[in-house]
Amino acid sequence: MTLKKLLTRLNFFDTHALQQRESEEGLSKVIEKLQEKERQLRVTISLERDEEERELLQQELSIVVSQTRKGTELLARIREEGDS
Amino acid sequence: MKGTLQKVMLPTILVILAYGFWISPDFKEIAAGVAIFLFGMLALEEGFKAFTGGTLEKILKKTTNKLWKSISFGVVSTSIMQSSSLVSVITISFLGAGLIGLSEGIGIIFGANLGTTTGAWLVAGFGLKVKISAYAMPMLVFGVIMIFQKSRHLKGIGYILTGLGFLFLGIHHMKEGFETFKSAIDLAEYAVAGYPGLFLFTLIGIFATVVMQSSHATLVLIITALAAQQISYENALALAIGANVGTTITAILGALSSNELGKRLAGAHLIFNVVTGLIAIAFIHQLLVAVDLISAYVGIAEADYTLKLAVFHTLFNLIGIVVMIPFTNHLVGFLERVIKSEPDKYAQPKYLNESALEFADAALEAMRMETARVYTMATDVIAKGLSLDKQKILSDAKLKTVIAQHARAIDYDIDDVYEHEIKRLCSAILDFTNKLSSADPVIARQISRIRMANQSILIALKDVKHLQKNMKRYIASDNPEISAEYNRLRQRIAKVIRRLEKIRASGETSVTSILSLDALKLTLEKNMGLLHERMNELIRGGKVSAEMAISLMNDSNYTYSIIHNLIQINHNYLKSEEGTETEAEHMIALNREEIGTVLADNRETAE
Repeated sequence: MTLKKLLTRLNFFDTHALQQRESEEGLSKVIEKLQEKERQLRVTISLERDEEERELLQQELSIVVSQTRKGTELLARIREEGDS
Repeated sequence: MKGTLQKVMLPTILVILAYGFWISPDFKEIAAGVAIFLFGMLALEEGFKAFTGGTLEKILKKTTNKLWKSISFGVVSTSIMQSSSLVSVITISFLGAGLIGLSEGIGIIFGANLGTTTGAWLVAGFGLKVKISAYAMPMLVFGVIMIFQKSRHLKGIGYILTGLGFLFLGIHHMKEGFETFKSAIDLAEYAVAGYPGLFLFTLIGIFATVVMQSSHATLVLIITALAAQQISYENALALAIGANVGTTITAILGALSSNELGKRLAGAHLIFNVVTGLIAIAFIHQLLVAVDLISAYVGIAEADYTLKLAVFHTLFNLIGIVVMIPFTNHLVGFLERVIKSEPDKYAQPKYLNESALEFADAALEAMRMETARVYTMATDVIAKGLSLDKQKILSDAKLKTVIAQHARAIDYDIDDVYEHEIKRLCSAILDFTNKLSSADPVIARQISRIRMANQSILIALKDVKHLQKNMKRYIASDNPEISAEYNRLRQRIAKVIRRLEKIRASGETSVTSILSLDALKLTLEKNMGLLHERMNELIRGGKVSAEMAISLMNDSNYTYSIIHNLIQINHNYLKSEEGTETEAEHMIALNREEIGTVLADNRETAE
């Protein structure tokens, strides 16, 4: 392995790569938490009897689903940038 | 007076030093050693500042909730940073920012006094016995390379390495200087025995530390002079006592621009160190016996006075802590009586003070706390402006009932509170953000969020002022349609305030608090659509007059803006501190267009 390759792998001095890694980590963690929130919301909705409350929870669920989708797309884009 | 003194002091010191350099090259080497040592401390301080981005703040919050914990925190942090002055200034700024209480602050100061004694051990046990200048050179080279890196943390490591390198180099020069100085003049001949000597050298120790603003530097100077037998052991002890008292000057200077909390802590620091110094002077003979016994027990040679000095330094600070701990609460009470809070004519910033500006972390936390305070005041004003009671809004009662209970409009001068309280405080926060302008993009981003949160507070209040005019007219109108619509607007704002309070309360535990705001944004957009539909029906059905319809249209826009800004305040304020997850949340948060898409999808599903 050449020295250049080794340094690229270590990426120790590359602040851009470091930031990218941090963003990736942050997004993964938040997506995980959103997925857990989505699971909990689905359980709560199935148990909710009040129609109005159910509608509100359903609304929140739609937001969480959209956020998860947006997060996943952002993560994929960052990973793509990292690979190129 | 202070300015004149400063104007005279500096040239006098410079002239004395220049004369000293001229007559003695050895003195020049010692002074250069001190200068290099102090420069090292500055670099070390700069290095630690790079690591205060949230970390120090979190550690402080977790590790200072009990007296023993805050003392341990003081010991450990001072041992690592090797500067009790730095720790005390940080403590004052965090106290001023409301991060910790006075008792916790006092605990840290007690601990810092003990922690600073590790410096004496390091220099006496390691610095004089090993050729530490050999370590200094590589540290300086590696350090400078690191300083040139872009990463904040690498830069920080660079400054720490450079700082340590300069500290070692400084000690080396002081040591060399005293070694050669010894052959020319024997300072030991000027040693004064007995209590007069004790008092004289204590005063010299105080003076030297005030000038150098570092007890550490004074102590290193004492130890190196003692190692070269330039001062007697007894006089070295007195100098160490003086250095301990003199070091409080940094805290006092730091507290001058702080609020009353910072001043109280500096007072506690002064009292602790003076009392400790007096105990050491009063019981000097007993302490000497104790030092001999401890030294013999741990295997320190009879004639190893430098290590004995380190034992003495630790022992008398430890005694000070043991003596003062039972009086901590009395000390807090005493300081609160002596240093009183200034009465407020108009709202004054509570957390913003100049000393917080020393550290970006403390300054940001101060601004966050102040913004939170203004937000609390603003929601109170909004509730009153809507003729509602905030406590009732935040209670578990049904909002419909709360609104019904407050059906009568109440006169409330929003302008007066806006001008004299909210605007003043927001301006103070914005001024403070300008003083903290940072090149660091992470800090700049956080400052910008705090700024935007404050701007949103001002806009929301202006909108409430506009809304108030017609609302007062229509909530108890004879026309049930218009009255119902205006009460609906009130209910909507109250609902958002209640929900935001819940999100804020869960802010510490909820990991996606910023994202929780998106659901509120969706409700806002949805309700706006519903209102427009209803408004068209009312106009078509001739249920409201044209004048009422125009008022309702304008006021629905004000309501939209109030809710939007309330959400924005929380979006920018909630977890405005930097972190990878916070940043990710800000990235994922949906914008207006995306919220619109979710709303359209929901409508389609419903149909």
